[in-house]
Amino acid sequence: MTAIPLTPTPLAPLRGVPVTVVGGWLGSGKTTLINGWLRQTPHPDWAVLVNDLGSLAIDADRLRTNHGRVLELSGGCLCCSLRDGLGEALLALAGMARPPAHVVIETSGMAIPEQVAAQVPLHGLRLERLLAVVDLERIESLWHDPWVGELVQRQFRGVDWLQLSKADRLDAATVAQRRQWLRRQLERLPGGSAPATQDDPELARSDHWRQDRPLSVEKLRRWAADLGPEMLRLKGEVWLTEHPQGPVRVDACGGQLDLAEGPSRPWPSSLRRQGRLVLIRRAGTGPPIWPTLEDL
Amino acid sequence: MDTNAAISPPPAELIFHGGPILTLEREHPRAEALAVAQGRILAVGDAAAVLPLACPATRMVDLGGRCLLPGFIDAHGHFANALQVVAWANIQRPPAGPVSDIATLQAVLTAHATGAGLKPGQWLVAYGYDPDGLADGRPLDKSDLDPLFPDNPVLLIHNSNHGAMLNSRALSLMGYDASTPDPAGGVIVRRTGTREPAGLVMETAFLPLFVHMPKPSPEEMLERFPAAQELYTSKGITTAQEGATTASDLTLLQRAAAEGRLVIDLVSLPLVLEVPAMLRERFPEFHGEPLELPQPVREAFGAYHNHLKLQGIKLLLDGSPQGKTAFWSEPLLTPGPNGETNWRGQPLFPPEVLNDAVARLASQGLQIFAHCNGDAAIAMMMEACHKAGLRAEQDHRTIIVHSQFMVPGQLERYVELGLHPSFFTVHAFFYGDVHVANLGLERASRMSPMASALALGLHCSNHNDFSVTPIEPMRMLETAMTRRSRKGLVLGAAECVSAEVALRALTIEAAWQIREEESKGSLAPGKRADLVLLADDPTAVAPDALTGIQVVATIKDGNLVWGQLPGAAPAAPPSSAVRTEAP
Repeated sequence: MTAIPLTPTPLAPLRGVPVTVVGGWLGSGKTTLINGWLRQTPHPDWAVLVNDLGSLAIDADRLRTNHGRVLELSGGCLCCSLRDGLGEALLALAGMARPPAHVVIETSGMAIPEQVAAQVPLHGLRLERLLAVVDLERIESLWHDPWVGELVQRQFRGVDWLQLSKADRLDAATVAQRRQWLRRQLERLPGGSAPATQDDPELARSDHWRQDRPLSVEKLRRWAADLGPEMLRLKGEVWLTEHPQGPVRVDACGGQLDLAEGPSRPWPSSLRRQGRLVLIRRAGTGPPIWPTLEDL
Repeated sequence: MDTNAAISPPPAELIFHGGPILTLEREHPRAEALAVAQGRILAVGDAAAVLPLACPATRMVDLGGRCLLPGFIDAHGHFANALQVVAWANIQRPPAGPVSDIATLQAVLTAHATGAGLKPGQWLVAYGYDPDGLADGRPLDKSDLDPLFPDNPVLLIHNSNHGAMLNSRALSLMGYDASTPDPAGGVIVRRTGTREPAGLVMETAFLPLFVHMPKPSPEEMLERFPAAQELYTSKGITTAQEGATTASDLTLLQRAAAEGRLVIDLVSLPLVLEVPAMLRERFPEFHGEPLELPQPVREAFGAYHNHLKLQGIKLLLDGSPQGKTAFWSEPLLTPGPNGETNWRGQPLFPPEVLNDAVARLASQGLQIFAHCNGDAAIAMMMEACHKAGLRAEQDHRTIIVHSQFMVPGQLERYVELGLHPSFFTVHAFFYGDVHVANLGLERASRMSPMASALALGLHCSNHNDFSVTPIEPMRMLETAMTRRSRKGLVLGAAECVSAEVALRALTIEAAWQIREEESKGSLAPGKRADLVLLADDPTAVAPDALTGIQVVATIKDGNLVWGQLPGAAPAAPPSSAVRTEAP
């Protein structure tokens, strides 16, 4: 093919920018959680994308930010609108004088957060974490709701951890009962293992690692076992000695490590062999020790 | 019939005679002649009564057996999409487009690229790609496109609008290759037995493409108004709808109207989610309750300004049945769009939010147009209307757009609540076979139950939902009458209606739904001279001949906006005209 210069991707300024996707039902406490993060530590270089499809009362001002980088995502069915709200919002961000250091996407209360998160890497940004906010007070009735119950259940797919909210409105026994109930329900879902839960509204710590040399399955397992209860989620693709053809998916939560049987895809090229892991741990933990060859 | 001749009427500018004139008036459904003056119908009735209104300046139009009707009213569709597709190649299969195999598809793309003067690096966009319509027995592969367009990214939008076929240039621009995993909720289709992308990408793998697509400027969009309107006028439509208007669309439409670019009437329904953005832009100082509209905005609804009017607020409750995103009460027979079992779709709003929105809009006297395809979405909407205290006697004219898959008992509830359906009967043709596969024949046969709705006295319109299906009033007639699928299956024979009834859904009933029945939708003195001239009388041909009927001319407010007036001649003395026409 002749080398014709194409317009460079308009999202180039956002390449590799980490993204946090916050899902959860309407009124579950997504905005409160994000406001809390922004209040605790000033993040002047963060951008927040809000999708209020479903709430009808769009008010971007409600997000207390001191930098004005709150954008609305428009929504609707593609069939009729022939446009994409997330892409439009990212274009607006890319056009700003200084690209954001971090993007928080608050999904619509009716969205499947996993499907929003899936588009992040395709746009060239880096998905750092996907969490779902769960209103402990309402989750049980929503789960069984005749209109929206199935949708509520689908929203839990693929999330890294559950951020529990509104526990303060319930007595301790009810909270414990609900947590247990929720865990049971999530484990029963197709392909379901319940993600870790966090009550602390601080933003969990997320670290990532590029793995430039292969690792044996045994070493990986040993390292993961040592991560302990601070670990909320470990996910990514690893380069394993046993599988030189391509990266192998890994996913761990609650002390259990799921490793795919073989590579899910080939390496982009033999020169671009590299594993990538994201480790999400409770707020306040220090930097992790990665399973380098020297350490193990 | 009254000729309005008593108090010095304005001189007739146009008189039609010599062919069937379908008035769509219940009392006098047929007339022999019609006179137009000052954009309105001056007289309609017997030739003996109308022809004497001719004066020397009158242009006499001898229909020569052709048929005159009220201009068609687009009961629901998306004019904003017309502004997009006029810049794209049409690669739909017949009857909507010219593509029957890969060779014709390639020819259409090449011709479009030449016509558009495509330069290296520029995107080539086409719409309506349908692998089922290719006689080659295989879907497209990127290698069908690469040799023709090595230097241009090519994007062929799938007829579902939920995916697209890409060439290698576009795939590499997107960064999609064998090592790219499928995103959750999306697919990068691979060549058989490999991980090499074949070109087709769907759903969440398709959405990121919009970022790369060319963004025409407002000025470029304004230049497209003549071509976009011609899509309507060439089919006899004199009132079009922009049925899901966003804030930026509204700005564009208002600018086009103010600049005098509209030749037909355009009805805009702002999307409920876009209302806050529209208000912020126009009334930055206004801070009301959620969905509260300031008085001047409420008053702006219902009146045309330079051919543009806001009529109501659009709500979307679910997706589409063919995309399996409608919301049903019972599961489909086939898996969901991402392989889900027991799939019955899902609503776009939870009931509490919907109930609040309907109550707030209704209490401000705003007309509501609610998109509901599945029976569960319809049930949710009926519940919201009930909770908002809506009743039939209030004449609120809440329209349930599509009302596609209703279950027994729901139409009776429409009657109580005062809800009226805008049906979508061409689904029988375009998607009927798909609906039978997904729902079974019995449920599929309940689609667009027009005969039952009419029997209950409901006002039923019929629509194409352009660009979901092409603008084809005659196919709306045919499918309302036959309900036949592409494969020839009849979906619900008991719901078939007559040609006369089917025509009402495109004219007077569609006018009623936008509160224009006093000025449009039938041929009566004083009504707007919005007319369509068809080559044949649609009530006199077999249903399968309907789509062959040509539009000869389209007239808006007495002015020719498309086609030619046949046999037009200066007026002869009235006496001779009457003599010529006398049987």
